[in-house]
Amino acid sequence: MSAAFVIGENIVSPLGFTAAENFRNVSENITGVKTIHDPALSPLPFSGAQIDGGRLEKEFGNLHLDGKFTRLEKMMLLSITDAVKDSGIDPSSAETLFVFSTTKGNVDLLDKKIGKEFEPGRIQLWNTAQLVTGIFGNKNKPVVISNACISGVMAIIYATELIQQGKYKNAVVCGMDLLTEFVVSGFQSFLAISAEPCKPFDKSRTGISLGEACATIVLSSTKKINPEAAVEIIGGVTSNDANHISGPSRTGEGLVKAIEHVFEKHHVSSADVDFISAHGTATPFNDEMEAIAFSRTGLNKIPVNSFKGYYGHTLGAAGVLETVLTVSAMKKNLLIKSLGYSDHGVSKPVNVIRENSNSKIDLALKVASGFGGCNAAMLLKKVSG
Amino acid sequence: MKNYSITSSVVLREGIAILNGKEFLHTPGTDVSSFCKELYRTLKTDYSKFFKMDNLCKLAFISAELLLKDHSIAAFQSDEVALVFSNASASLDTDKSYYGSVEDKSNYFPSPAVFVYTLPNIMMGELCIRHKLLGENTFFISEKFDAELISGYTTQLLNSAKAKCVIAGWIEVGEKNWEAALFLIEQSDERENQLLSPAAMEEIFRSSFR
Repeated sequence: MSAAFVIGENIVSPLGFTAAENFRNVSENITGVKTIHDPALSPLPFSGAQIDGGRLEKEFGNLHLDGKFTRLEKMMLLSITDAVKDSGIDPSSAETLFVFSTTKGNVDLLDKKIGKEFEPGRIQLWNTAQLVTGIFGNKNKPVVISNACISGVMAIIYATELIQQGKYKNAVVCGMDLLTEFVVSGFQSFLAISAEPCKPFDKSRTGISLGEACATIVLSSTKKINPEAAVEIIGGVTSNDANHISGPSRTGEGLVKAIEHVFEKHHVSSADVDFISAHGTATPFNDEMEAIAFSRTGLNKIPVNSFKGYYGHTLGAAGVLETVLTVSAMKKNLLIKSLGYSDHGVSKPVNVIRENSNSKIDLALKVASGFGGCNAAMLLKKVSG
Repeated sequence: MKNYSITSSVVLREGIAILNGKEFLHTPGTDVSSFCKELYRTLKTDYSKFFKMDNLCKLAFISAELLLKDHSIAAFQSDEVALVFSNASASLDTDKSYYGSVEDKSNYFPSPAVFVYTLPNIMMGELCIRHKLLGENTFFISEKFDAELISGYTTQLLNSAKAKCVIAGWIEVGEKNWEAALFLIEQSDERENQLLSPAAMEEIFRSSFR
C-alpha cells in the first residue's frame, strides 16, 4: 500500500492568496472576520469574512486566462494553479485525479443579475468541476463531494484512499464556497449567525461567522525531495448521528464513533495525538457536542483549536482550508491560538489553545461535523523529509 | 477476494417503480411529489416526517422504503451500514424555491425549514434517522449516473471494513426529469444474487427505460 503525502498547498481567502501568506497571518493571530454591512448580502449587519474583490481581480489577471469566469471559478483557478506549482506535479497527467468539495458552488448565479452573464447549466457543481479540470488539461473525470460541512475532510479522505490503493499517483483536492446572500439568509433564519466575530468554545459564544475561501491540497504517493518534514494523511472515517437533520447529537455519538473508528483502524490512542483541529463553529450546540465527544474519547487534555475565529465558517472549503493550516502548524511545531476563546463555555474540560506556543506536533486529528448529522475524523502524521 | 452482491434494487422514474426487476407501481403522468405520495400509500408507510421533506428527500426516503421492503438490514450493527449516494443537480430544485424567498426584498422571508433542504446529503440524514444508521455517509455529484464511481467506492468501503452493508445509488430531481436507483450491497455467496459490478449496476439502472 502507498502512502499519501501532502506535497502542495494553497489558500485563497480574506487572509491571503497563498498558503504561506495565510499561515503568516494566522500565526500572528490576525483575523479576516469583521462586521459586514452590505444590503446585497443581508438586510442586517452580520459577522463574516469576505475576500477583497479588487485583489481577486488583480491576482486573477496575472493568470492571463481567456474566457469568462465566475467569482468562485477565479478563486479555484488561482488556488489550484498555485498549489500545483508548489507541488511540482503535472496536473494534466492521467495519473492525477481532481477531487472537489463544495456545498453550494456557483450559487451566486441564482441572482438574476449575476446569472444572466453565464449559461444556465453553469450553476451545476459537476459543470464547475469539469470546467476547471479542463483548464488544467486533465482528462480524468473529476470527482465532486457535496456532503455539507464535512465535504472538505471527506474529499481528502477519498483522495487519500485512492492514492493508498495505487489507483492514482497524485490528487488535487480543492474545497470552495462563497459568502452569498443565499447562505447568509439561511443561517440567519436559523438565528445561527453571531453579531460579533465568532467565539468557539467560549462562554459568550452566540453563533457562527460566515466566510468564503478556496483551499487546495495536492496529495502524492511520492514525497518531495526536501529537507523540511513532510506530512502524510493516514486516513479517516465518516459517520452519521441518526439524530437530527439540522442539529448535532447531544451526546456526540456520531463524532465519537468516527474518532473511535479512525483510532482503531490506524492503531492510534488518544495520548498519541498532539493537536486537534476542531470543527468549532461557535454555535452553542456544535461546540458543546464536540467537547462531549473529545471527553468521551479521552482527548480533553490534547491542545485543540478552531480556525473559525480567523476565517469564519467556509462550509465546503473549511475541511481543506483547516487541513492546510494544520499541515503548516505541524511542520512548524506551532500550536495556534483559538481566536475568540477566553472563558470556558462547554460542559466538559477541553484544552483550548489560549496563546500560540511551540510544541512538537507529530500526529494531528482533524474533525468536522455538518447538517444532515454527518461527522468526519481524519489523522495526519509528520514524517521526516 | 470476497464476493459482494446486489441483494435488492429499486429503480423509479417516469411514474414507474421497479423492485428487483419487477414492476411494483405504475402511475403514468405523475410528478415526483405525487408519485412519492402514491408509493408511500401503497407501501402503507407510517412516518409523519415524510410530509415535511422536500421532493428530493421524499424520493430518497420512499426509494429506500421500497428497497428494504422485503429485505431487512436489522442483522447489521448500526455503524456497519454505509450510504453512498449521488446525483447531478445536488439540491438545485429546492435551492431555487428557497432563493425565491429572499430574492424579492419587499417579500423577504427565508425559512429555516426550507433552507435545511438546500444540501443534497440531507437525504442521507433522513435515512439515517429512519433506519438508525450511524455508518459512513458520502454524497457524490456527477453529470450522469456513474456506476463506476458508485460501485468503486462501495467496494472500497466493504474491502476496507468500513462497512458490511452499503445502500448506494442515485437520487435526482432535475428541472424536467426525476429518477432514483438504489442498490443494497452486502457480502453474499448465494447464487441467486447478482454480483456487484459497474455493469450489473448499469444494467439495473437502464432496466426500466422503455
